[in-house]
Amino acid sequence: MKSFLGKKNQESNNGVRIAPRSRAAKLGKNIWDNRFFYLIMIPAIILLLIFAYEPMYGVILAFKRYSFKLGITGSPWVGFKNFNELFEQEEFWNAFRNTFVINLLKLVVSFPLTIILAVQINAIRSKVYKTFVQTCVYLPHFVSWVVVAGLIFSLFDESSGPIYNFLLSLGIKTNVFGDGNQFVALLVLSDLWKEVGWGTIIYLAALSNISTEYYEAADVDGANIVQQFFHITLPELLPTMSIVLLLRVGSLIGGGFDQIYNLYNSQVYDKGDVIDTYLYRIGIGDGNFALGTAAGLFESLANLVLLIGAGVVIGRIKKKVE
Amino acid sequence: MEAMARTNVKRGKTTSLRRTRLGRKVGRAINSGLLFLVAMTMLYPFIQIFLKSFMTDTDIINQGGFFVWPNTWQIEGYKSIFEADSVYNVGHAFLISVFVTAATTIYQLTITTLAAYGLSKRFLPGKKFFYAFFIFTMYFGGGLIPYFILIRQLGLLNQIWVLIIPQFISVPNLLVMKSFFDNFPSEVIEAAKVDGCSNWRTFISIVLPLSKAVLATIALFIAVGVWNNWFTTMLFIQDPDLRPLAYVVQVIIDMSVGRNTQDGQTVQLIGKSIQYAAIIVSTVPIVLVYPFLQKYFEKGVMIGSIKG
Repeated sequence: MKSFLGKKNQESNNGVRIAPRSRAAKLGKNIWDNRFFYLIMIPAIILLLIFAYEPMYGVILAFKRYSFKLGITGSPWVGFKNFNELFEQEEFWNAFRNTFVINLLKLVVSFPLTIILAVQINAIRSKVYKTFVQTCVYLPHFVSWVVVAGLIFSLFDESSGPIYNFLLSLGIKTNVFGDGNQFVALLVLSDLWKEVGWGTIIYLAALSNISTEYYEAADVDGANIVQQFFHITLPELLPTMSIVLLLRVGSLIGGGFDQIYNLYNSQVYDKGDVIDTYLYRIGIGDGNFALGTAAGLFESLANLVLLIGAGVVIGRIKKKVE
Repeated sequence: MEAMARTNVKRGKTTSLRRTRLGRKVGRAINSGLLFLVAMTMLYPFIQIFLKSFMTDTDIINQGGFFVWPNTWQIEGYKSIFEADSVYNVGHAFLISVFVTAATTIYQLTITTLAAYGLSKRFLPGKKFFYAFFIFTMYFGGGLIPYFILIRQLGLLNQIWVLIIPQFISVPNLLVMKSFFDNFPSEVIEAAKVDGCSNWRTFISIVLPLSKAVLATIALFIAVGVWNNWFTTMLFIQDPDLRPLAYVVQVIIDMSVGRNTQDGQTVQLIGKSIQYAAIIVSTVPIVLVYPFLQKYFEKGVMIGSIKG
């Protein structure tokens, strides 16, 4: 759109006056000439309308009482009744709080460690060894949480689990599937194990763009490795860090379904139940569609607000730095 | 690619320039050692479960340490999950998975590529609107329940197509591919036009062959995602004959441990070697395509990360 307007301005600068009618005709011709590019987008657009935008219309169910016969459109309006019901449930607030706490803990633990791991990998000189390390650390990202849950059950098995037995030999009797706090620790650490390697990729890309001349100059000035890290590496990584942080903060409320559903049980609901698992239980499990839709809408909106908020904050910080 | 080559040259120069102090050498050795430990942490769970899948349950329980080795190698776990009349019927599920993965990959790759090429066209009237139309779905969605109702209305419940048709795009993949096409040399396309190629011809016989790397990357990403997808099956498919492997493995693990534990006592319904065999069978295909993935994905992810 912008480019089209730009073109038009250029032409009027050249002194060619374009009548409104011919401008519209030109736009029409431009669209017709580019019809190929519109046509090839049509399949994706139609499917998005059906599978992404239609459910967005479906959120009106959050303000209705669902009737199977009448469908979403025909179901009677009930105003904010579903939300009132939702907000009265202690289980919902529990899940809401847990979602936030678990995501925040994951962020606090994995954010710095991912950067450290990236810097460490970047420091390897041998290309073969570097590839080997990268191959190993990226691997867990590509297996599903179903498989990872299987691995975790085997590692913490009370008869044969190597981690369980190791901690037991140190005098620590773990109960990761029965104790809420231990369960949260398990969530944070298994998420770290699975995603820390994958998270380094974006930093490795940024690190490879840092001019080595900075380090050479620092060497000449006698700066040690720690000084170089804080005065060269970290400032250079700042833009990447802020993007990653923005995205992570924007998804603080929500997610984690695959991981938690495959690992949790009713004993750890108090600390481990999150919005997505709660929503699944009431919506699909109990078949309470209206309440489930309300919970989902609340989650989506909360996330949107967080994302926009984080964007504004980071934009301000960037301006200040500049 | 060029940028990477340049950094490599620079790095090579630095090696000779940098003073090799003893402290640096020790530091580097410590770094390498730590990274070796990290790498082993990533591999260990897979290795131990691989070995245990060939052990008898008694053998597994008797060896509770970090290092395990089968006293006698046996494949009973694998045999029982591949039996056609068993409840697991992993062989059948494997075939379903292969079909769904192949079909979805071709389907999704086609739709994503077409949309990305359309979006990458310069000076396209209304381009910003279409871009926003795609991006918006990343930030807001109707949620699980309206989606569930939609799928039911469309009559897709309990049909194999529910695993394929709704998986037509992933917007992050679209962005990676769009930014690749954005950087596609326009002279090549102009030259084709001068030679009288239609837009379609240019796209099929010039642009696509030059985009093999990015197409392969995205295809592999799609395939891995589809292979791992168990949730769609749990939501929409009841017929045991239509279950892909990812969901069957989920059921096997779910039935054996974790759920319904009482006072920390693990309830075990399915033998360990059976569970572990199922996990290995579902993981092996990923490990097999992994070298190809790794060859390409860094490039793909980097292209995506530049555009944000």
